[in-house]
Amino acid sequence: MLDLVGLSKSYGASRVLDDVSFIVQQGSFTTILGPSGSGKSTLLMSIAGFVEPSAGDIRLHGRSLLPVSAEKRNFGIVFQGYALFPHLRVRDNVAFPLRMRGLSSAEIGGRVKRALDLVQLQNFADRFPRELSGGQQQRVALARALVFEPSLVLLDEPLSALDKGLREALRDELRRLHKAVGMTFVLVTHDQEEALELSSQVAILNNGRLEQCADPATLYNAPGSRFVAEFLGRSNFIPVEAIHGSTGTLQLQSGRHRFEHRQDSPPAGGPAVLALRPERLVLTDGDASRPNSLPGIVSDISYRGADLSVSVTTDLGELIVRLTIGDGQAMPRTDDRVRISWSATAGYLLHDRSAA
Amino acid sequence: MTFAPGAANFRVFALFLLPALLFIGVFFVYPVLKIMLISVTDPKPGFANYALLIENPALRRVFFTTIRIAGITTLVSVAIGYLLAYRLHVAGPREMKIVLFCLMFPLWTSVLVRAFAWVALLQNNGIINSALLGLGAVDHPLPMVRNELGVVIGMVHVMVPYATLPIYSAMRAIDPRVLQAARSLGATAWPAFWRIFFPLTLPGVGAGVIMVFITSIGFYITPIVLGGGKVVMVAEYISVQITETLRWGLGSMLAMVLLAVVLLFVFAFRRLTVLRQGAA
Amino acid sequence: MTARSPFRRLLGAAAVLALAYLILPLAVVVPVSLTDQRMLSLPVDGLSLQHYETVFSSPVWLSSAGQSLLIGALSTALALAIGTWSAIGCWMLGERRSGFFRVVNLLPVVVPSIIYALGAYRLFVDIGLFDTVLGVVLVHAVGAIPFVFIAISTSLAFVDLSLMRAARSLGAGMLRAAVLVILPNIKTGLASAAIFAFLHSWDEVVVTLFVSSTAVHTLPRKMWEGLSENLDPTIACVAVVMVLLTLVLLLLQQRARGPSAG
Repeated sequence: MLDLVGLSKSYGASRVLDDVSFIVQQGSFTTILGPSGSGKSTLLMSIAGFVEPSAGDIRLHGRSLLPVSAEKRNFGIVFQGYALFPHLRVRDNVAFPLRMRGLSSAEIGGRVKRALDLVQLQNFADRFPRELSGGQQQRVALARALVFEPSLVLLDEPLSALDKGLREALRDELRRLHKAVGMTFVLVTHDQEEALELSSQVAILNNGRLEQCADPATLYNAPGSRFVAEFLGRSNFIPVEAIHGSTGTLQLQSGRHRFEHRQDSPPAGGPAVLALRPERLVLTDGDASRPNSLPGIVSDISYRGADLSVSVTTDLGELIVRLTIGDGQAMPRTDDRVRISWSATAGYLLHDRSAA
Repeated sequence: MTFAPGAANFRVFALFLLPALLFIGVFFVYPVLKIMLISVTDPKPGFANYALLIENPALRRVFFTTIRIAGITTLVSVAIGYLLAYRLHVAGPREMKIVLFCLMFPLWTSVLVRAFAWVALLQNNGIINSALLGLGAVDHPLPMVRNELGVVIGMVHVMVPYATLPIYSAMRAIDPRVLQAARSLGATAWPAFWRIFFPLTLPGVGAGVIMVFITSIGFYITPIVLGGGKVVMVAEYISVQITETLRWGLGSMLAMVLLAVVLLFVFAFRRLTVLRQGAA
Repeated sequence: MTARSPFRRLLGAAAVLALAYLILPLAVVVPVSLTDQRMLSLPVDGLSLQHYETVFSSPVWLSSAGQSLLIGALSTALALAIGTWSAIGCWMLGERRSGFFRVVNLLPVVVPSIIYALGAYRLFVDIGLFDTVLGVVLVHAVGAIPFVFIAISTSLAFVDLSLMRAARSLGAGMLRAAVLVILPNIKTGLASAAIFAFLHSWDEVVVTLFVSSTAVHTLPRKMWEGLSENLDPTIACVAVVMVLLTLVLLLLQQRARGPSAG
C-alpha cells in the first residue's frame, strides 16, 4: 500500500538516505531498524512529509505523496518525546485532530472517550501532560494519533525514553493495539528485540542504505549481509572458501579444516564468511547429525541467568557458544579442552563485503 | 533538527518572515539608503562630500573628539562592568537580585531622564556642588557639566549595564572545576585569578568593549545635554549640519561614515562570539 | 583568599559605590521634584507638591502624557504582531537557515538613532507623514521590533520544535498551528515583549524629535524642549512619572517571568 521507490536524501555533501526501496503492506506492522545515524528517522520524516527527498518517490495506493503537504497526508504520528501540547488537557490533546477536521462536539466527545478507553487512560482525561508519567504520556500520544483513524500510523522510537520494564509492557500494548485497530503501523527503532518481536516485516538501514527487508525469521536465519547478521543477535564469523560439492552440499575450506554446508541459494562466488549463531553450536564431539567439528580451549565463561555464554579459542579464531543450563548436565570450565560441533544447516554462508 | 523541505520553507518565509522583512525594509532600510544616496548626490552627484573628510580639519576634530570620549567611556564602563560582573558571579540569590535590579532599572529608563538628573546633580548650583560648598569642602563649585567630565559621567552611567552583561555571561561559562584544578596545583588566589580566570573572561570583555564603543560613538542625547555645546560629538554635529545649516550632503556623509564604523565593529563582534563558541 | 581580606573588602565597597552610582540619578529626581524651591535643588525647608500641581493642572503636559500612552500602545501592538511572527518563523527555520532574517530583525537596534532619524524625516516629508501620530507610531514600532524579536526568541528556545510538526501532522496548517499551539506556550515571552516594546516607545527621543514638530508632543519631546528653555523642577516631576511607569512595568515583567527566572 505504501511504496518507497529509490528514496534518497542528501544534506549538502552528506548522503543520509541512499536509494531506499521497499513496500509496506496494508495492515502490517513494519519496523525500520538501524543504529543511530542510519537515516531511519529521516526516512520516517520523509514519509510524514516533513523532509523533502532529494530523489525518489513515495506512493500511497499508487499515487505519489510528494506534492501532498504534511498536514494533508492524514498519517498518525507518535513523535520521540511525544510532543503533547502542554497547555491542553489530555482530553483536548486527543480531540485536536478531530477539531481540525471540523467534527461536531458530540462526535468529538464520543471518539475521544473511545480512544482513551483503547489506551486505558479513561480516568486521566482532565489531566495536563506534565502531570503524567512517561508511559502515560506515550499512551496519550498514541490515542491522539489513532483517534482520527489515519491510513497509516508512524512511530518514531516511541519506547526509547522508557526504562526496560516499562518498555516491555508498552511493547505488548503496541502489539495489542495494532491487532485491535487493524491499521498499518510503521515503527522506527534501534532496538532489535523490539523489531523482531513486534513486526511482520523489518527494513534494516545502515548508513542510509537498505541492507535487507524481510520478515524477522528470514532476517535472523538467512541474513543478507554481515551487518544484518551482526546487528540482529550475536553471531560467529568464520572466513571460508566455498568448494562446490555434489547435489547441493557445499564443502567449505578454512585453514586446515573442511566443513559440510547446505543452504538454499548460497552466494555465487568470491570471498565468503560462514555465520554461526552461538545457540546452534554444541560442545560435544562430532557425529552423523553434526558432521562439522573444531577443537578448542575454553577461555571464558559468562553466566547469563537462563544460559551460559562460553568463549572458546580455536585456530580459526574465538568462537562463542550459547548453552542452556539444564538439569544434570555437566558444565564446562575454563581451560577445558572441548570440541565445538554443528550441523550442515546450522550456519549461513554470506558474501563478505568487508573482506574486499 | 531544521524544520521543513523546500516548499514548506517558502511557506514559512511568506507567512511568517515576509511581513517583518517588508516593514523593516520600507520603514527602516529604505530611509537609511536615502541618506546614503543624499551623501553622494547633494549638492552635486559625486564623492565631494567624502573628500571633505580629508580636506576639512573641523570634521577630523569632531571624529577624534567622538572617538576619544567613546574610548574613555568604554574603558571606565568596562572596568566598572567587570567589577559588577564579578559581584554577580559570586553573589548569593538575594544579592544577585539586587545587583541585577540596579543594572536593569537604569537600563530601561529614558536616557533623557538620566541626562536631566545628572544636570541636576552636577551643575554649578546643582546638588553635589551645593553640598560641597555647604560643607566647606571647596571654595568654588567644581565644573562638572559642559565639559568632557560631565559627558563621560553621563555616558558611563548608560553604558555600565551594556558592559556588565556580556562579561557576566562569559564568567558563567567558565567551568568551576578549572579553578579548582588550578588551586589543587598550588595556585593561590591572585595567580589563579590572573592566570586562569581572567584570560577565560576575555571574550566577554571583548564583546563588552565592542558593544559599549559602538553605542557610545553614536550617542546623541547625553553629550548634548551634558556637553552644553562645548563638547561636540559626531551625532550632534550631524544634527547641527542638517537642522541649522541645512547641509544635507555633509550631514549625510558623516552619518554614513558613522554607520560604516559601527558596522565594522559589529562584524568584529560577530567574529568574537563565533571564536568564543569555538573555544568553549 | 581569606573571606575578609582587605582587598576583598575594598572590592566589595567599590561594588557598592558602583551600584549607588547607577541608582543615584534615578533616586535623586524624587526629592528634587518635591522641592519647595523654585529652581532645581533638594528640598530646603520641607517637601512641597507645588510642582506636581503645576504639571498635573497643565493641559500641555497632560496631553503629552496621553499622546505618549496612545503612541506607546499602538506601536507596541504593531511591533508585537510583526516581531512575534518573525521570531516564530526564524525558530521554525532553525539557526542555520535563519541567519539573514535574524540580522534584519536586529538592524534597528544596531544602527545609531541619529542616522535613522534623518532618514525617517526625509521619508515622512516625502510621503506626508511628518508630524503625525501615525508616523511616530511607525518609527517606534520599527525600533521596538528587535526587543520583541529577542524576547520571543528566548521564550521559543524552551518550546519543543516537534510541537509544530505534531500539530501539522494532525491536520493544522502552519498558521493555525502557530496560533493554537505555539502562542499559548510563549505567554511569558509575549508579556516581556510587550513591556519592552512599550518602554522603548515611552522613552524614545531622538527619532521622535526629527519626525515631529508641533502636533506630536510626546513626554520625552516636551521634556527635551523644557531642558533647553526652562530648567525647573516641573521637569523633575515629569521625570518621576516616567521613571515610576518604567519601574512598575519592569516589576510586572519580573513577575511574568516567574520567581525562579534568573
